[in-house]
Amino acid sequence: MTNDAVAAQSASPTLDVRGLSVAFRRRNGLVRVVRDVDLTLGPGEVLGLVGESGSGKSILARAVLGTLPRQAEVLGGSIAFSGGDLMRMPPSQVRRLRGDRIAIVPQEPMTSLNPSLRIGRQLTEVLEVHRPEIRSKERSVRAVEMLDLVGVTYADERLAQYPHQLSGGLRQRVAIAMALICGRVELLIADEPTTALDVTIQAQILDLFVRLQKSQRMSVLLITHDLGVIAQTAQRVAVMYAGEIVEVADVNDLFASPRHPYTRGLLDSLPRSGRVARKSHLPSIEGSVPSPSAAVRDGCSFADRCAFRIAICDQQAPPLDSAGLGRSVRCHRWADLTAGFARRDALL
Amino acid sequence: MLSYALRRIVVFVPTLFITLTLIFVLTRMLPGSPVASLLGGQSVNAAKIEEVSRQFGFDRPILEQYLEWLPRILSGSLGQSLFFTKPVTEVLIQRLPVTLSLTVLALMVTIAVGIPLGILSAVKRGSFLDYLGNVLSSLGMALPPFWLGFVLILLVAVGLKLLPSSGYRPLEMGFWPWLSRMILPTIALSLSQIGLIVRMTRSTMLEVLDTEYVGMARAKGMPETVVIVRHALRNAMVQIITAVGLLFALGLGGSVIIEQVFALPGLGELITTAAIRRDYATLEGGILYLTLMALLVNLLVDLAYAYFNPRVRLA
Repeated sequence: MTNDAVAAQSASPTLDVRGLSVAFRRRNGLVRVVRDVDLTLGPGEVLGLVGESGSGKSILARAVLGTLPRQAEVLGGSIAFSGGDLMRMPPSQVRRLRGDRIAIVPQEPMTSLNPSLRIGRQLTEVLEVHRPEIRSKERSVRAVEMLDLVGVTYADERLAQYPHQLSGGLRQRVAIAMALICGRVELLIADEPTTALDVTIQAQILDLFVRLQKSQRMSVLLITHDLGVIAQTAQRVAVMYAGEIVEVADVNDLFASPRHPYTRGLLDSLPRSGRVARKSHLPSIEGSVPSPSAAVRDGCSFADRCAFRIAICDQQAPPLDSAGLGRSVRCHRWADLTAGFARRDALL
Repeated sequence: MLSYALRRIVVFVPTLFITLTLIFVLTRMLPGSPVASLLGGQSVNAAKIEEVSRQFGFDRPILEQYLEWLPRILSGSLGQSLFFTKPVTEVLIQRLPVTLSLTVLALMVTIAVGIPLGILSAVKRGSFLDYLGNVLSSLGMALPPFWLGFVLILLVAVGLKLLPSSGYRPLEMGFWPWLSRMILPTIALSLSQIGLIVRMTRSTMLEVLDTEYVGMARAKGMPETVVIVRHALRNAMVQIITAVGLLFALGLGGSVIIEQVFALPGLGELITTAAIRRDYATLEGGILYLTLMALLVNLLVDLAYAYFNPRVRLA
């Protein structure tokens, strides 16, 4: 574990999620999509949250923001942000934090800007709500400064433009400017911020992210299914599977020695220069994430897809075990598997 | 924006041409001849009918009549009414305020009641209010306006004696005399329109409230009223306005019946009687006026469309 990450964790955390469970109301009852999640994010830390589509990442993010869809219901848990519990604050107070001290960069730049409002209006309205002391002329000046900061060219002309006149990359930059315009973001939630962009733009936006994160000293919860993005930006990683956190580790530790069979599978399915020569196929994890509406099974939720399944995996749900400094794993067999993986890697 | 408006106006030229042709053909297709109806009660012989027919040009081939008729109408001369013995334009100008009062008032009520009710139903979906809005709109759409008119006359005018049952007073004779005679017809006409607009607004708002950009507005910490009005409603307006434009055209049709029920001397009433009397010129002029009103509202809708949707305006 790096010194940075240790320091980040020892200070009082920016975000501390404890035992959070979220369910969707369906005709046949409640379907749990986030299950007993613990997550800590220190000041200035970038935490990657990885998982396949449907693993509950985005719902977790929306629970933190307090903007869960209507059908979703929080079953329990707490979300501490800068000391206060977001779950127990009145909604109006949480709303005042949103866009000001907690901000989000959305997944889809093409659809997350309002098509009928000018870029300038969409930027200045954030200041209007959260920083009413700033006069309206200064708001536009600030909007131009923010656009400049995130690398939008011809910033002052953009204010009068509509989203459909901008490219996807530019729109994502505008969305980032929108998230940061109040200037006091402590927690930035980036929900797949580069997924919808093409590869060259992706790299530019990630660079921008890292630069801004450092200069603004904010904590970032980076949600993605792209391990490459995680390797480039995050310090710690939490792996989510079927609504549960299955592994948390420092980014270098995770890539060097994954402990959970699922994490292992994710890493194996990444193309790597050393491996391609030996295998003609890229390995993949058999099966898919269980549907949250499937009957809740006893035992480990990954058991059905796990190559290392033993009897206990079907009988008992594994707890989130501490597995070394700053690491935890939710697997009955992590200890003996780790030794096995080490031997296999040595052979490869 | 100006070039967009001009383009929209140019599109109306063929529409107007087709409408005029339809008006001409359909009036000529009416069974019975205007001459017989004009000479009605008198004991007439064939020679007399032929003489009057020649006088008005009804004996000439239909195409010839049309080719003479079209340029005349386009130049704005609607001809002489067979029954009122004065220019059709003069008759129409007299009737126009009545129909305008009715349709515009009904549209205003529809917008003022229907759109807010639709928004509330969408925002508080599944609530008692949503349920109530649903019941009211179904009821409004199911009840025929003329029946509603009779019931209103019976209840409010005859039973409670609160408002006059029929007739028209021009606005120049005072606001209340004018309004008091417009209230019942307006309610009768607007109730069915309200039902439609409530449903339209509700479903459009539900769709827009589910979009990413509305979610983003919430994530930015916008107060709920700003989210609903500035972010959701603004985008829903395009569809709502389209519906309002259609409703106005429907309302023009509905006014024909309502004017009969409430004995309002409007264009609708004029068109009905003109059709019965085979008063071609008046019939054509009346329908032309209604058509022009519908086209004008369509143009306004198109312009509003551009206002609410920058992609249309800048295209």
